[in-house]
Amino acid sequence: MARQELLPGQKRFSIGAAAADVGLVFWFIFSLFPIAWMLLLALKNDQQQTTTYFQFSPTWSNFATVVSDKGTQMTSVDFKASLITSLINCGGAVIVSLVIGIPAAYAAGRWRYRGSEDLMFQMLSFRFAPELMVIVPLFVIYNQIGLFDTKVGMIWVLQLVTMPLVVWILRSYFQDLPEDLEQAALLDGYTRKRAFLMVALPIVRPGIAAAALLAFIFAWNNYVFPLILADTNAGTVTVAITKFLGGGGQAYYNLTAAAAIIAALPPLILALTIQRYLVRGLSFGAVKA
Amino acid sequence: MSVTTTRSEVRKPTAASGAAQSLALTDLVKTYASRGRESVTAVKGINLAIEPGELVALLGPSGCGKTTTLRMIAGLETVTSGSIKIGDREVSQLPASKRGIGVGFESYALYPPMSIRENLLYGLKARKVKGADQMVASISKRLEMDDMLHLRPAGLSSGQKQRVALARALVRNPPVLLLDEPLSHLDASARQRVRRELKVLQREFGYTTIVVTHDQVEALSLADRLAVMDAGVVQQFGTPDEIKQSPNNLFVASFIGEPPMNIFAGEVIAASDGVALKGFGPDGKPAFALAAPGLELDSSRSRKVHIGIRPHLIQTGAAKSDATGPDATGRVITNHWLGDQSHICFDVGGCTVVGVTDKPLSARAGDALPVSFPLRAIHLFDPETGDALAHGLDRA
Amino acid sequence: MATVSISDLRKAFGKTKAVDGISVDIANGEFFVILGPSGAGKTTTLKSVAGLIDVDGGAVTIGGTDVTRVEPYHRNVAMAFESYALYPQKTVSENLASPLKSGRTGKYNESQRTERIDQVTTTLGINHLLKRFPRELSNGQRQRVALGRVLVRPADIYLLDEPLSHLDAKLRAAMRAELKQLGAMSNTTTLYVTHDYQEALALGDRIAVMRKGRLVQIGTPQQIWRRPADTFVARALGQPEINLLDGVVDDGRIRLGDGSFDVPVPRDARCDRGDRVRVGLRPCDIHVVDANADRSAIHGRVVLAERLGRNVELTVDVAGAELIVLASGREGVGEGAQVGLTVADSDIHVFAAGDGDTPRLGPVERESALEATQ
Repeated sequence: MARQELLPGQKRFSIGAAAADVGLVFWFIFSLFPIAWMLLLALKNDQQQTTTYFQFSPTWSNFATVVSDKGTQMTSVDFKASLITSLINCGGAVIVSLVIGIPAAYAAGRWRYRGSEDLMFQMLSFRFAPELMVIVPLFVIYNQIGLFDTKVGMIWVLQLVTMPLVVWILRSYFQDLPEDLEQAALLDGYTRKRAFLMVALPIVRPGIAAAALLAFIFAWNNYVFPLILADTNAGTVTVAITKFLGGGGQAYYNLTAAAAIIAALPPLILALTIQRYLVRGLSFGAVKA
Repeated sequence: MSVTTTRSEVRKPTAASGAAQSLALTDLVKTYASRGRESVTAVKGINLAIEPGELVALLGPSGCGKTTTLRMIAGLETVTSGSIKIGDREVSQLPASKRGIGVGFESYALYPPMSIRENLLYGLKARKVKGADQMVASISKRLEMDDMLHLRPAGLSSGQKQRVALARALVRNPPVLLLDEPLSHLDASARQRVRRELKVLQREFGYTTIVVTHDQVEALSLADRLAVMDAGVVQQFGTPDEIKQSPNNLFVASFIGEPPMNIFAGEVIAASDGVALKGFGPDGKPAFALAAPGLELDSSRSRKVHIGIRPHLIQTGAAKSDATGPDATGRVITNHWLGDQSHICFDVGGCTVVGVTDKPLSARAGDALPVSFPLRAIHLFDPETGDALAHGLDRA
Repeated sequence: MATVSISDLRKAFGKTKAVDGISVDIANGEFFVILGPSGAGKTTTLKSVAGLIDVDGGAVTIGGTDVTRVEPYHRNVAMAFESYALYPQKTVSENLASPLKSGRTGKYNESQRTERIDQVTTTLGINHLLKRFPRELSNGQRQRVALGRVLVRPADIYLLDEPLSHLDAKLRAAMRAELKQLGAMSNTTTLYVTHDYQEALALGDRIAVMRKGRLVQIGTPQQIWRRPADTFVARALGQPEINLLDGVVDDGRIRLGDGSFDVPVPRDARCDRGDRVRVGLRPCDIHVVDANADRSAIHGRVVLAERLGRNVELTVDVAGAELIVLASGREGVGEGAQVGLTVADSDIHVFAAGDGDTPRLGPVERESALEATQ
């Protein structure tokens, strides 16, 4: 029996607790309603998409249409290709952020050097600024240096999204990492670089997994940068979804919903695969707390 | 007459102790059951009757159930079965706040935005106790906390937090006081002074107190009686002297004492004037023999026993009080001089024996040393059950 | 095997001076103990010798070579950390193999490594734990693995940072004996850091008492026990702490408490008539005698009697001052009783008067000329 242990004198059943439970159920329904609605919408055919609520004849054809040539004709955007582009852009952005961000986080977490706090804060400030604020100057600059609608350009600009996440999350992992372990490795005869790779990295693996996943999700969901700074070559799936809304003509809400569901799958799959690396406490036992 | 205080002399009730209550634990059991795992019985039936104004220590290794027992008395854990009585009130089903106890747990909440002084006053003012300011001032002085009173909890070291927790419990003048490892984070000299002060305070105000600790020295010095626990069961409950001189079983004998009692496999042989003892080394070969005249055992034939010898009573060098000469010759393995005592480890026929002397001994590794084991140093235990069979002191 | 020389070592962290100019010469094969409370700078000193900390000033010399600017992996030094610092994702045998695989402690093939590991783990009694991970071990076992990692490879110097501090009292006492035997066996110069004076007395060939980044006294265990250089050293050794009483020198005796009791001025004390001084009396040096039989005894009244282990700690009120006395329990004194106390002349310590720590008034034996710089 997995009932929670009561404190002496506590009653097992109370009106207050029951009322709170009921309230929570209502809140649950309220919060998840949009997602449920979207799922229903994706299963409706063109005629019923705006006329029915819960009673309709479901069809899977929307999903097929979205990824087929017919869909490409309708929207002038190849949805399948945009999925791949999203993967390349976001995956690339995360990889670049990790390669640069991990050593940066290590340095910032381990040592206090002149300007380290300012640098960290500046990096965090990238997340504060609304993207719309910087998008116009970026558009001009990108055009001038020829990075408009290139995957390299997208990967670079997505660093504004991914790098702060990686550095800030990993910095706290490195701060918590006890110095003794690397010092022991130094005395064992390893150089600092090897001590870092051999000792420090394996322990912050869960942090790396968490940061990479978060960065990927944020990059994936980003709408403004691909909208303005990319077109057919480097366009991402976030923009492609919206094309099904017709742009003034017939709006295919059901296709949009289907596209959105398909677009949500890659981050979801990534999260599920990586979750075992998010296991905490790999360093427990090595160092006396 | 010795300094030991027997139970009847223990309490000196003062006027302020009119509120002290007795505490009785009867068949107290605590089982943790969780889905998917085996249930764990942390406390397996504890029976303790504690007099009003008495200080009882629960002593034992980690995991023995002492903290769980304390938490059950405090009301922080439910009782699986058994009863807890304060005075003649059954409290095991009452919530913690209604039991009338003072709890000095280190992690007990200190309100962060208030200074220490305000924290101490809080409970008193809430119950409109008169003279709260003086009480806080006096406790603070005695526990050497005057320089901390204006600080906030966040800025305190763990040693300071412990003293505050202690003060908070004491200042409420509770009929029953529960303390969980109250001195563990204090450095050696502060620990000494606070320990003494705690003892004086407890005597003066007469709180019925239970202290949980794994530190023997603390337990032996503070307690009027102590309960040695292991694996959820009280192994022995008695005064410090009783526990040291007549340990009930092997566990108690080897737990108490630093360095702990030397224990060897041995045999009792019936002899003409009593019994003789033979000790065996780890390889089973005979290591030493002792005559133990006057030591009686229930059975008159030879039997296997475990022989326990207390390090502090072993006599090295020329035998002093034994006219019959030394019992054995030991070869010194290590000789640690520790200022006011020496710990000597020597080999007697294959057995490693540790002895403690007050006077420095100039023996080096390899030296041969005559060794005597006076009767008062010897305890015999049953090799199967571990129960004590005889204590040399009874017959010495 | 090598000598170690530390000369005017300095290291500050921000405003705090962790190590404030210490100098000491350690002989080849010596077991040298640094004793001090937490925050004294002991670990910083050790890590400076290891090369894990960049020092602000001074020099470290190992075996005659100045290594102050040498990287830790080139110094041939082995260290056991207070926190054990075992690699969490490696098994015990992999932890022990790690120093042998780095290439800087010598070249070992697989079978040589296994042999060395077997030898060390058998000596330390952890041979059955080779496949376990650090998180599956008890504290005592982890401590031995940490020690094993030190012993498994050749080194000029062993650095041990409070190896016994997280063990319970019984295990500590047992490991003390083991360490002494290991130390004798290996004959390697060892620097051992601790805050426990019993460990220091038991293990050290020489002991350096450290406080707030400075070495207060260096000497053999007997020297620092019998002639502590100041009240700090006197209080650091001995449990319960030494009694310190204020007094005034008067005609060959020192008057203490409210003036009604006095002790003789020890022969080697340097003080004059009228000087204010502090007298130190160790609880174990004060003996309880029959007040009536011994006329010269000091009289007092027992305020508190605490049974501790094999002794009894008596708090005795003597002319207004409180003295802690260690008695054996067989003297038959209870609380409230009148007692007589005696103390030998040679056990009387005289220090300068004042608050805080004051120096000894009298000769202090020091082991070598090159030590405590004040």
